[in-house]
Amino acid sequence: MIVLLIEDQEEELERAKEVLRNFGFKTAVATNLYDALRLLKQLERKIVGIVTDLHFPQGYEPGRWNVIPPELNDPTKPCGFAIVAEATKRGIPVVVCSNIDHHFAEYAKITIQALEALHPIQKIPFIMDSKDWQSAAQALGKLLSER
Amino acid sequence: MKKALVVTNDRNVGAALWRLLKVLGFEVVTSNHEEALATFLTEDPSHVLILEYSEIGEKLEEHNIGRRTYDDIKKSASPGTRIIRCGLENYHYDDYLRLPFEIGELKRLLL
Repeated sequence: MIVLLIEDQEEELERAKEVLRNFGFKTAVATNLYDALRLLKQLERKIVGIVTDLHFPQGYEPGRWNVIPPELNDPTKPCGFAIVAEATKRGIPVVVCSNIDHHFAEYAKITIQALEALHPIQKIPFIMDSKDWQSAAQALGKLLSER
Repeated sequence: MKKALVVTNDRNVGAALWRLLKVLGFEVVTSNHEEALATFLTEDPSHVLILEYSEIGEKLEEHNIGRRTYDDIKKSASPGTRIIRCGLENYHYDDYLRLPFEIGELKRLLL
């Protein structure tokens, strides 16, 4: 079972891969939005679900820029919303896993609830406060078992 | 049994490496670059050989396809997977093999 994992911090990425592996998932990894969308298109029929961070860089198409605008490598961009939108549009189970403090995450909760409302069949688990990959993997497993 | 994935868009090179790696005792699967990550995740190889690696001519898709495949597989692989990149230019990476190479050099990186 192949899962698309999007996480830009190397240490977290290795932890996430290990946890997902222990749950029996193989991980295709992207560290920015550009690569995530490219892999989603490339692997769509093979991916059973997505686990994504909320904030990571937009990234860029190789060769498009002579000088890379720093905004494209900004790790504070909430690109995870774009992943959630793409996943719900395509009917792919998705889990958001972020260390965002739940006290300051109202904007994220409301946006994810709105995306959920567009496709009421699809629940979108949102892990906050710490990058708890164990909970994210469990949530994805539950979503898959309910399908 | 050790399993090797050979990634190249050149069928003749793929077939030659397939034979060579068989002789070296590997189970071998081949893939083009487009299908490489999917094949890697499905086949779960212990060794990966990625051809057409280059860091020049970034604006030309055909010139950076090996680099993109390498980055995708490297990020997705578990720590134990041995990944080798091959190309025509001269790079000083431990996992890089410049073409043309001696069979002994490939063996040294693989085994």
